Amino acid sequence: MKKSLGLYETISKSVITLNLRSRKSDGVLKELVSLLEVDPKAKDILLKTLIKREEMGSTGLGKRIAIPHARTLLVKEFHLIIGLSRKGVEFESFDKKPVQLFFLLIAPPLETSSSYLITLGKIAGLAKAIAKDGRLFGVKDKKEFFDILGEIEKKG
Amino acid sequence: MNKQLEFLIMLHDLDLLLDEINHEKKAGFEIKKHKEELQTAREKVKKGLEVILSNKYERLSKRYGKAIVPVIDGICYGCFVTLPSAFVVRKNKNEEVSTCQNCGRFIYWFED
Repeated sequence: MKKSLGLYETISKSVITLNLRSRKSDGVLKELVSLLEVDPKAKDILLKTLIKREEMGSTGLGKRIAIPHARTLLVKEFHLIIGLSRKGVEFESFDKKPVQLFFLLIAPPLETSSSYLITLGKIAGLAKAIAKDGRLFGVKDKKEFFDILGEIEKKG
Repeated sequence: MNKQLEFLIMLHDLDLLLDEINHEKKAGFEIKKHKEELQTAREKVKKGLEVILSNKYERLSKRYGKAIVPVIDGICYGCFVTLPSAFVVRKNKNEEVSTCQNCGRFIYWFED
């Protein structure tokens, strides 16, 4: 049986930005989507889908973490984009706290490896440990981010 | 990209969202809107489509599940048939609405 990748391995292949500037939900989604390597028109459509998804109910899990996500025809493979906001973003999380850490997951309609669902479940499962640890919200660089996340995942 | 093709993709992505509502709830996400409200949003997107295309979308969805599929490296990801090279090598293919010559599904082209 193929061994499934840990979150650390998945994340180490992802795009990451530690300085999200927008303070509003639509703006922060736009910033995250802008990091995807897809056709500019595809980015516009994808952004609309993500906004529609947020209208259904916020993907803010509470504890300053959100996992915006969508499946779309516009990508060939699974993408994970991580963003950190130093000041926090109003994201309508159920605990009303601003969100600082974003994990944007985008997957094609049919995704055979199921990375999308596995990663979605893993991040949701780790959110509590990430919040309790607290260090990821103040990291200085990507290496520090990956090191701390690896530690948290091992403990979990 | 062709405007009608944009609406077809948006409709497709919204249908995926609707399909996954139950999974979203199981995964612990709070879904505030009822399915009926989402259907209304879907109808709104559908109104952007020409009637002939929206009818075809519904007909194909009923028949295949997915009415629009990607074509990657010349292969239709609906029926997995290699499309004729003269059809594939054209430029700016997403500037028009096209369908697979084998299965009839709408096509979104990934152009390298």
